[in-house]
Amino acid sequence: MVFSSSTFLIAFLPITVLLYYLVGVKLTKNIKVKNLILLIASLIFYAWGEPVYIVLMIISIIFNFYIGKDIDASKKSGQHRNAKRSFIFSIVFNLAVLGFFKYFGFLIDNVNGILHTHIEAPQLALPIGISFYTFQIMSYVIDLYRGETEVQECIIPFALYISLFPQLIAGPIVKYRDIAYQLENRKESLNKASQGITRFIAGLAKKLILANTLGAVYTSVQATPATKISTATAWLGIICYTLQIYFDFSGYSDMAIGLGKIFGFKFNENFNYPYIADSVTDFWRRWHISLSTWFKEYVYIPLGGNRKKTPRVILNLLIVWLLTGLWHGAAWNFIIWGLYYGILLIIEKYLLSKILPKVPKVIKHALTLLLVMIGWVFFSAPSLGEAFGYLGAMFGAGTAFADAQSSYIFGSNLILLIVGIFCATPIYKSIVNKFKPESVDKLKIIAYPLLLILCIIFMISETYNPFLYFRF
Amino acid sequence: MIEEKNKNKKRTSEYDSFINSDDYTEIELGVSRARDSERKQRTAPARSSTAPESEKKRAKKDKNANYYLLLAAAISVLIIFLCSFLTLIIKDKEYSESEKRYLAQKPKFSFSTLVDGSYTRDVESYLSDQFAARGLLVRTRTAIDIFAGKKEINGIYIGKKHRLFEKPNEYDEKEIEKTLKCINDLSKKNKKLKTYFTLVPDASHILKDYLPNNVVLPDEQKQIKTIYSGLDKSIKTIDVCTPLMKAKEPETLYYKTDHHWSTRAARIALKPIAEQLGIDISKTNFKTYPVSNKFKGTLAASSGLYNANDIIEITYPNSKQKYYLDYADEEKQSASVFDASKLDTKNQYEVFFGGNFAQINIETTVKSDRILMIIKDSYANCFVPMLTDYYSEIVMLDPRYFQGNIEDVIKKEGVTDVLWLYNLNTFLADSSIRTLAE
Repeated sequence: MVFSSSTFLIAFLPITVLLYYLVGVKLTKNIKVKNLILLIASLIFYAWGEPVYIVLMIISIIFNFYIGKDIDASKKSGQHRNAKRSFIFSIVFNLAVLGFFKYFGFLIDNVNGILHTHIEAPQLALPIGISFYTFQIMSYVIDLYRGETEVQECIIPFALYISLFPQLIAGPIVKYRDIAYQLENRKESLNKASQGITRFIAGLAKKLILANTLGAVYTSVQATPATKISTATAWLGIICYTLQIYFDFSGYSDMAIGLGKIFGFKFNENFNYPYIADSVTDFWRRWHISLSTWFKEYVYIPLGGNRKKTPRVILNLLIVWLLTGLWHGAAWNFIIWGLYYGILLIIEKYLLSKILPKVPKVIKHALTLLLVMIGWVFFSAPSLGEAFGYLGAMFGAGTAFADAQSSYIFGSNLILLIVGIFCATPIYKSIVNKFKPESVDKLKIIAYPLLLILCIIFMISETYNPFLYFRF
Repeated sequence: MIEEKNKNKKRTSEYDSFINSDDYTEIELGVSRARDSERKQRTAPARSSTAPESEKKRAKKDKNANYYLLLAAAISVLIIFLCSFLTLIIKDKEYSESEKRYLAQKPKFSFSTLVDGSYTRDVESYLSDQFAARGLLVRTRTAIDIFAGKKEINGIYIGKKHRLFEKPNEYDEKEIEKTLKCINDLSKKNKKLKTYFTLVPDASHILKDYLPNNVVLPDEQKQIKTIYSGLDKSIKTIDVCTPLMKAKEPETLYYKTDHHWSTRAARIALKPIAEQLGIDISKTNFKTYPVSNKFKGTLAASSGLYNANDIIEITYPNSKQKYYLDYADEEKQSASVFDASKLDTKNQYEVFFGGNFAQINIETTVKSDRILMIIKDSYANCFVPMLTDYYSEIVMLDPRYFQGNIEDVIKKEGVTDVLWLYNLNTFLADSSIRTLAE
């Protein structure tokens, strides 16, 4: 199930919230009942889209729950070697599951390419959310083993942590220790619920009104081979993609955080206006914060982080960024994308740290944005070759500087682009702050419902599917 | 162990203040009031910011702000529940006039469809297809898109003066080769037949000045010429492109709201076609008169833009000859090529023959030993009424519906001439012609 669907908006969500508040909050006032309701809802939510792979997630949950208990028992009784064995077993299991379902095909393709073999890779569909929930599971096991958190004795809150529907499909990745307390002690309130609802609407609007429409423009540009588009068209396309992926991803995070709040959960922010970053390092403090935090905590720091000699630190950074790229998808262009950022970060850290503060702000911001957009070319292209082709079109190998196609795209989407750029930066925040807070708050009374209606309009109109005139 | 508990406690005390407060200031849509008030305190002249009165005021302001947000959320929740309720209550619709398709109905539950995912997909289709006020929502979206500057809706260009254009289909050489092979084979198999072939260009070519700015489409005249060159030499190709391009008042050649050519355009094409077919139209007096001035065609339906009205004319020979129609597979007969009842429907173009059928035999009282077979798409429908004075029989075949054996029909009806008449766009996308060769 996805948040931006009729099933979720008018069936699943109202029913779940009603049940949670009426039965959990009002009637029983019992956290266990609340958790059970949410757990059942989350399992239904996942099974709705993955009727078969839900079994995999449930197996993962049960396995890691018991292994967690085992690790904890071994530690408490001083059997550190047993604890270490169980810990390694669970990490291997989790990575193996993720590796098999996500990367096996990719691995086989590469083996075939290098060794000229013809091994047939099983055509497996990727289970939705597996990258997210596997990382959450591992955060629990690692934190438990390292003594950063207490064991979860009861399977229901544990299962809830793994499968919680607000963040199961698209994050943010919640570390167990950030949520452990909330799993068994949280209070809902009307204020939190209303903040959650309005935050959810904001995210829904980002997804339906901005991300999807911008994505359609990029798709139409991508339909033409890169050798046949003009420079302006290529740039318009990548600008649309840059905005699209931000609204898509941050919109989902907004919805996750908003939904969490409705149920009394506080999730950490996942995005902080990444496109106003003044360096690549700054960009990664603002983009998909939960992922870079996860990698820093569970890969970079265990590898030694920056506490080793420079060559080792560089290696650590490259490993982390290769894995970050790989996490995004089983393809070479994602790995290149990750390494691209790894190299840029290394350059900024070691070669530019003294120069950067002296560079004028405008140049820093512009250059960062340019580097980010180039990164997106690798991220969005279906293959490495096409990525380079697209870059070529952007930097002069296109058919012309501008042509009829670019003028058409520009004219048709000017307002969309302006709204998109406006909403991707905190510009509107500074405009809003010029008005009296009271009037702004009063405006919200109409603004949010109106935004919701717009979302519904966009959502339903996307399902409009006229059967072309064939019969007539 | 104690350290662990302390660590969890530290984190919980941060959360404590969250769960017990009604604090709403976070990075929520960017309005971070906490930071702003901090900034204001730092930059403001030293005022007694701890004065109880200003604190009360701020607390009241925050309370009001909370109240407004609560109202915003409450109204939003009401909207959701309203949509749920209405969608549940309103009776399911079966067919969508504007989309020209059947709408999804309540899916039947079965364990197998649940497991393979089709049940949940069908539920989603069902809910969106039957969503309350769906038509209104779609029309509003179209209005928003146009307001934002879009020049195409659902693959239809919004041209000047409310004229709509279909996007041309892709010119796929391999597919065209396959289709041409079937046509050539058929001609070779039936060497005694005289075969003629013509493709009619689209409005987007003839009326390219009406396209939205900066829309550049492929040269259809060139495409037609290339296709002609792939045909067997025994097939006579007919150029209707040039006469249409030269015609006066080109706006009357195509409908604004429909993808078909107008009857007037068909009348102009009749001259070169008649020349090649070897029929003499000079002595015929053609009657033309309008049968509808409120025609809104396929493009209006697909785009949802109903601003323009079109006029449908019928043209036929004023003659003493009689004819009757036999709809081969339908067990239907008719005494007229025009079906007036269709003028009361939303598909008024079906006034010509009542629409498209697999095979229609038109038997006439004309004394001729020529029997014409027309293999066609719907473009021919407004054209064929002009031919009823020249052949003792006309056999209209639509490969999209025809499932019989064409050789049998040719033998049975004694066909002497075969005319292929297609609109270029349909021809590019149509693979049903190939089924004729089986």
